[in-house]
Amino acid sequence: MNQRIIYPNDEGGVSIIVPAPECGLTIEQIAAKDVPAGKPYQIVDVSEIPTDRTFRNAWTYEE
Amino acid sequence: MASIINTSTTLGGIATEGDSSNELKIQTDGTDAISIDGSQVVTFAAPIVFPAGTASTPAITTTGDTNTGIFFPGADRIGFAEGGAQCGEFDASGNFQFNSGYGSVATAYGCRAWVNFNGAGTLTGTYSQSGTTITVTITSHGLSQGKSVYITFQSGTASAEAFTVTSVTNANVFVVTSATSRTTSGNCTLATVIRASGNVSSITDNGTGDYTVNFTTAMPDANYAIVTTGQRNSAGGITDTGIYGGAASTLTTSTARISTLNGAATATEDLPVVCVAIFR
Repeated sequence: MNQRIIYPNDEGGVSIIVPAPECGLTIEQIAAKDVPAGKPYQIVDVSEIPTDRTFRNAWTYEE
Repeated sequence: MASIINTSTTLGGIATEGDSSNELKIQTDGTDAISIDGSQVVTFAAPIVFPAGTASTPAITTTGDTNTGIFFPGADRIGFAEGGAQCGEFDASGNFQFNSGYGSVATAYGCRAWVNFNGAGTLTGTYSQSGTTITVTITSHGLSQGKSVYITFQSGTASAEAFTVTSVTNANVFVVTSATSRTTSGNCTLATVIRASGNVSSITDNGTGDYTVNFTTAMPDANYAIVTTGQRNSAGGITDTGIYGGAASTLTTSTARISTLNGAATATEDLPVVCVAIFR
């Protein structure tokens, strides 16, 4: 899968869910199951995730 | 010499075919039910129905060892017996339970989830494109043929896109095929990948060296054993991994949150290889 699910985490940053290719679930099913209840989330293309993780903990979630 | 006994097509009977085929057939209602060819191979036209049997007298067994075999302990269950005692079973939910030497059929332990992933977000390397063939060199890429990957090309003229690995040359080199033919080369990065997994739906990247393993099927409880290992950026080998499973509160029936640390265990650090196994 070349999509990711992003949501704001409790530490004020952003969590990024990487689907397991062999799990047999769709990205929507994974979002429904693995995003914490009540959290807003977005399904984005992997190209939208920064590749430079130098300041990974400073990343934030935007609606 | 060929012989036919009771050749009626509407009744049951036994028939032998001509000498050249040497077949023996048993018919019911005019249809071959069991055929035995000249090599003593037996073919059944319908399922074979056995009695349920027990662990001491399995339904399917062998000559000289009749207390070892397969039996059916209940609806939707398949049991296995050795020496008259049950040693394994596929239960009604499809779970395989077995005596491992550390438990019984009912309490057998095993690996219930596992994953090997790249926790560093991206791996860096180089590429060379000739025609539509792109040869990518990334140390310990961990990919296999058919895997889906997303590659970003930082220099040269190749276009970032999703690819399927065409072939793997070796542990450090793999090949993908581009939709566009060109000749170019440069540096590239490979997006985070889950190399392989079992009973894991996804990995949540919570921050530097902070990951949550999400299970496809939940654990029976949160009292499982979590085993972690990995490879550090600088060490270049599986040595001092500095991975810990987190506080008890981070282990739930559906998730396990882990942290990966630097060599001094003073701060979290992204590791290019993170391996997690869950036993229960």
